[in-house]
Amino acid sequence: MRKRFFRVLKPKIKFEGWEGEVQTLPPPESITLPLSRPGQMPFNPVVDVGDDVKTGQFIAMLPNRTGVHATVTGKVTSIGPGYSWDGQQILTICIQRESDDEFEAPIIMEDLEKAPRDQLIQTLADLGFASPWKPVSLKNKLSETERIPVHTVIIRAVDREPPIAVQRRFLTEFSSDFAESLEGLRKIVGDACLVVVAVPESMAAQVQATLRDVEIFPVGDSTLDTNSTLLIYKITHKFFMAHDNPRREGIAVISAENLAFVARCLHKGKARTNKLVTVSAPDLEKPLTVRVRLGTPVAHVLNTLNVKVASGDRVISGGLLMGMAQPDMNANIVRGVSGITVIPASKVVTFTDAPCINCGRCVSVCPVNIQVNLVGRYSEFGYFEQAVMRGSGSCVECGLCAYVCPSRRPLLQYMRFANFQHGLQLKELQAGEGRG
Amino acid sequence: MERVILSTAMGPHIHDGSRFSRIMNGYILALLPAALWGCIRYGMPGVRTILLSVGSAILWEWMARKLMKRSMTLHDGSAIVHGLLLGMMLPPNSSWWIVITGTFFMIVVGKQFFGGVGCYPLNPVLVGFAILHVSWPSRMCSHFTMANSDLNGLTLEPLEALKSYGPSVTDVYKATDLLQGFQMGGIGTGAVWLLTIGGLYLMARGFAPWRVSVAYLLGVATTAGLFYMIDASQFANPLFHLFAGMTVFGAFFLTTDYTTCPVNSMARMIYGFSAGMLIILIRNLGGYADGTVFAILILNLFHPLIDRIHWPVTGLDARTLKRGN
Repeated sequence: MRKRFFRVLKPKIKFEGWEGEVQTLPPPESITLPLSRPGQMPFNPVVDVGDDVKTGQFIAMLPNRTGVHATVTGKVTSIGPGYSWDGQQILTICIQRESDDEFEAPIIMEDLEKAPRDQLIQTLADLGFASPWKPVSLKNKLSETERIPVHTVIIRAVDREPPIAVQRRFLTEFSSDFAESLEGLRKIVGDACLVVVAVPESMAAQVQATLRDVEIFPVGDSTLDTNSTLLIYKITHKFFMAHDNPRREGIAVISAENLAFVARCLHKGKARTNKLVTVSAPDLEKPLTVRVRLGTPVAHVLNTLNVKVASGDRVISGGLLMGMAQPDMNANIVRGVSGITVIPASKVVTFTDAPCINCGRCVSVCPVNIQVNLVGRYSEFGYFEQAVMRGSGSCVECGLCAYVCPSRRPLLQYMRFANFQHGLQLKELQAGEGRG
Repeated sequence: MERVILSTAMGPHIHDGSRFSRIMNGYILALLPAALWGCIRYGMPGVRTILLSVGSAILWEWMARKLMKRSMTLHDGSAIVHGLLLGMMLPPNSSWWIVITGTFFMIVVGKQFFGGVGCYPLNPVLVGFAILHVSWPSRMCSHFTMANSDLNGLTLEPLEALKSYGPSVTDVYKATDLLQGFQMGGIGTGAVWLLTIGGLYLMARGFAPWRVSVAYLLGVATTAGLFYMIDASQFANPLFHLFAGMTVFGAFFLTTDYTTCPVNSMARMIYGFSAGMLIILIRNLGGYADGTVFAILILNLFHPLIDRIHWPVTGLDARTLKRGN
């Protein structure tokens, strides 16, 4: 990280040196896949412990038939509780690899060009795509179910934060897949739908020439430009807080990586089994992007790349500003994770509960103008309602406030703490009202 | 394989390296030229006062933290900065007990009673100085304490002279002399050009809120200019007000104290501008010769109120406020 002598401007952390070949790693000995997400309905496993599974086999499904597919060939060893990469308890399935890949029979559609829309959607669901293009059913004030169709699709071809460089590769190395998938997407969502592709500024001109029928939205390289919430805000002028779902307003966000698999899976008829991940560690000269199987343990990736991890180091799933440090090396790579960052013990930053000195740097860097100095104090001393009233719910979790704090206060933690505690208080209140 | 125990946390996992103690070091560095100049000009009495002030400030801070059984905060350097600031504001020949009492009220009453840096409502340096100024006015006048000294130039504080003899004294006190620091006053508050260099350094490093200083100087200049335009025979010109007394010292080192100044950009400008305005009002219409200290103290009281002027939080609408209730 470059330090500035003149620290008057907002800090910008840039993407640098991400170019380079994507390396494919050998499959690991065992994989663990999540069968549920926190706060959502769990998948029903359709296999039992001890069953043999093939690569790409359907192993768990939701009622609407999108599901989870095995990513190696082997035996199911356990189905039970585990932890997601952000520390929540979820249901997981573990598969031990026993042989080289044997693939499940592909689902190939005849006549892809002329296939009707419904069939396309169904095939994609069979291949494990959650369908971001489907209308959402909502209960309105009169308790009537309303179907809200998607009117804007935002494709993120930008990465959330350095040094992760995954999404932008689908504009260069895998651009044919990407372009083809966009055509497929257009077919699914219809002509009336607005498709916006958010691309890095440096690539905008190049992309403009190749992609048709879509709007190109150039995005700067700083973390504030690439933050999800802020990106949606800039494109649609609608601000969604952490608990809001953009789908409820008819806005779908798909990452370029997810989208590119549409074309690949439809052509080959195979479910998605892999994922690109950027690994950055002090042992590596520069961040390296590798292709791994979904569910691969972090330990396997790091061992294969000869990255040594000692006690006291941090292994982060995600980037430097917004990532989560993992408690152990068995954390798995799932769809939401596109980076593994290792920080040596000597460079680990610790935060303290020192008092706020009111310098106002957090306020000046906050992209949504939260009074971070006040909200941090409210949260610290337990005034969660006050904190939410002052806008802690608008926090986009960019982490810049804690990054610049000279007192080294854990400001982002305070912000999330206030939101979480306030949510609990509200729930208690509602439960109390229900009883009374 | 050896068991690896990882350190866990949520983001951010990097930091820009800033520290409060580094900011305080910046302040010390910025203050040193003017302090040295004062020491050279006033000789041993000046050196003695500054060293006594810094030393006793450190001692009071250590004792207060020990007695309150709180973590030691000496390493952050704020006690040194506060001691240095008060020492530079005192007249060179101050009695030793004046200095000790001043630092006691500054560190113990003004700062540690409230919990230290980040918690005090009023700038402790100003609290200490104001208590001394109100309690022993005659001992806080530089020309009085230096009556027996042999100094080149005028041995009357320019603002005292203005109060006593009217704006005709501005012909005697030339702006260039004032700028170069040939004026009576506190040990370190006279050398305007050295203070300005220090202040610009702080602003460039981002250690001091530049909006406050700029708005403050603007406030002083505009208000003094208005008075001068109305009646040039009764009020001094703005340049005299800018360079005389503690104006510049206040602009770069007293108003910019983080804890007692607002954090929002607009609020900072309003705060600075009003402080500048108030100084001239006190000087031209009030009873005190130099209103810097009291003007900033009054604005300190208003800073939480001024700080309510800020940009709206994105996405914070009536819905959220309702949920909050």
